[in-house]
Amino acid sequence: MDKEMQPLLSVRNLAKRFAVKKDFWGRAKEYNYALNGVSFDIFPGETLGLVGESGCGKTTAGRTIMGLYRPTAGQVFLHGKELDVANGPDKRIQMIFQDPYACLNPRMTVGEIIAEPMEINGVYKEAGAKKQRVYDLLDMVGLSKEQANRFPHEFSGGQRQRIGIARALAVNPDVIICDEPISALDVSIQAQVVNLMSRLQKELGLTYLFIAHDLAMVKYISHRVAVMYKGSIMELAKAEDLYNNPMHPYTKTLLAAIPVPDPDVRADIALIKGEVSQNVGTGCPFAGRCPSASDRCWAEKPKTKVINGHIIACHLYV
Amino acid sequence: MSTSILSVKDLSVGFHTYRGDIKAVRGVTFGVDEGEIVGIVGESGCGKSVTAHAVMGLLPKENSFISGGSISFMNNDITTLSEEAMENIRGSAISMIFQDPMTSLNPVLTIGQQMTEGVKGLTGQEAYEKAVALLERVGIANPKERMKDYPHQFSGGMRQRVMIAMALMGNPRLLFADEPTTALDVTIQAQILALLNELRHDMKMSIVLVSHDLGVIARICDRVNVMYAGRIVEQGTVAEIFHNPQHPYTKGLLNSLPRMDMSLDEELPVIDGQPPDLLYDITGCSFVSRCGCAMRVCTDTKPVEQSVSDSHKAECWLLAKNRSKEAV
Ligand SMILES: Nc1ncnc2c1ncn2[C@@H]1O[C@H](COP(=O)(O)OP(=O)(O)OP(=O)(O)O)[C@@H](O)[C@H]1O
Ligand code: SF4
Ligand SMILES: [Mg+2]
Repeated sequence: MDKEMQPLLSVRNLAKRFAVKKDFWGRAKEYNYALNGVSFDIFPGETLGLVGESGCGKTTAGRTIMGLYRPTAGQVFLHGKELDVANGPDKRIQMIFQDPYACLNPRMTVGEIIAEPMEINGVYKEAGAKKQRVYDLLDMVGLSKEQANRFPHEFSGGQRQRIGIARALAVNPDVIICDEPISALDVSIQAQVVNLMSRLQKELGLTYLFIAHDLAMVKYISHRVAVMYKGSIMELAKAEDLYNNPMHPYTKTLLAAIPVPDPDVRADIALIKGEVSQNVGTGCPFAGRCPSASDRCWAEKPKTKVINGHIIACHLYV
Repeated sequence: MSTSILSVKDLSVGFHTYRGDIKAVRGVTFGVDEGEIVGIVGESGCGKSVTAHAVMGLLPKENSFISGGSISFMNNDITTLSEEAMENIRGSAISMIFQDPMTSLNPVLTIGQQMTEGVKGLTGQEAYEKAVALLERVGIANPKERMKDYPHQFSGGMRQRVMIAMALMGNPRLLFADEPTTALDVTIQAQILALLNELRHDMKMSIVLVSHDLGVIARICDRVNVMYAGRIVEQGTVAEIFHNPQHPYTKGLLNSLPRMDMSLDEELPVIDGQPPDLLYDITGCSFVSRCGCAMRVCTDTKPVEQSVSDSHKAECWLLAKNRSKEAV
């Protein structure tokens, strides 16, 4: 990205903890840090991919930025101005969800679903303008205006995801947070939706935070990719660089584990032992599974540094 | 020649529903030899699980029916076996693991109780020792201690390991694994696939791996069946399917995956449209509405299986040598 360019969205030291144990009075006794001091920038027109294993905090990151969760610490800036989280969601940030079915109201027509954010935010107030906007949006996502009067159950998974995209676009957002938008779809339908998203990005200059666990798809759609582990960002780099030259031991592990649709690639897959453990401790979150962990890794959480253009949190690099 | 473990011939399965009869599996033929891992790959609803359940005798009694075909296991016809006889085979000679181990584990019994319960031909002590040894084999640390734990005390990956150990209690010759790693993270998925691959060698067991993920299939299968709308449209060795796919659907599926060297300037090749509704009969090729190569014959007449090699077959008119010119 251009150094001179102002980030559209900046996240600084964002943290979110959830109570895992409560005492007799309902006060939290023990916390789990789903987000543990996360910082990154997203530039205009860019897609930042956010990958990591289940429970690593990807969804919490998306929802906290959206204003759906109140952060425990840290700030979110949009166009350089801090968002007041007390105000709840900001219409300039919209979201596309993983399960297009569960997230669409079954009793509303597709037209009503798409128009709802306009009503909530008081834009396109005049009935004719609103209707026209709905038709335009349907057209933009490859559906027809005749489909505006139908109900979500009459649509396939891929079409429902198109409806979700139209709804997210309704109020002309600056940033769209896409939380696993294609994970629930079949392979052949995934490609249709991803092509639509990238076409819309080019046409409308959209900026995406693309949360996913499918690393091949993230690589394809993202300009830069952030790898998260247990609430912290381990490595962030240009998509090409991250995949061709991963630096963090966790990124290397994750890349080696991707099942590649080519039987010739099976040979010596380096398997990582163990599973994500609960205890956080004071050290590097990855120390327990890291093949290169030293005493220092167990004792001290690595600070982020920039090496060869990669933002990386690992004691191996000084 | 290797020994045949499973041979499914022309199997058709349907379901009575309020919309009418769904013909979910429409004449499926495939085999599994000793020690092989055979993949069944295809998109949601194409009939992978129904095929597996039919072989296991696990179809829901209320509304399912096998409308044709035969299933033979180690050269015995098991298509019309009694409920009781099937019960005997299940869990011993043929076993199964599922996507979500939680649905097949009893939450109120310890792992030890579930593993040793109803094991035939072993004393209580022998069953206990076998269970401990198997837990250790699948990579559960402190197996004796963990025998006393309940399913919820295991993580998702560990639970799948427990399920595998449990499935091995009866020394199965054939293991059906229906999306065994779909709910797991990639690093854990890689571990479980490696484990399955080791076990088939150690235990001389054959595995049918059902998955929608071509990457998973490529990683451990020897042979692959590609399913679409209730039919196997292409079958071959893993190399034939991935390096020399013949059916337009297989090609389309493989193409729609982003390659690592692809940039955003290139659009992903897509398969337009969606699979047909299995309620209706299909006169021609089931893929015709989405196929870029479709000819007139494809709409009118069901494609006949064509051989590409001894092990490689595909159901597509494009491969027919003596396709009559008028038909096209
Ligand atoms: N109990 C049932 N009653 C009615 N229809 C059923 C039943 N079970 C399966 N079907 C139908 O049979 C078809 C094949 O289903 P099946 O579960 O085998 O698909 P699958 O290939 O395993 O898909 P997935 O990848 O989603 O697991 C589907 O159309 C499904 O709706
Ligand atoms: S038979 Fe025809 S429609 Fe079917 S896959 Fe082959 S070319 Fe396409
Ligand atoms: Mg299934």
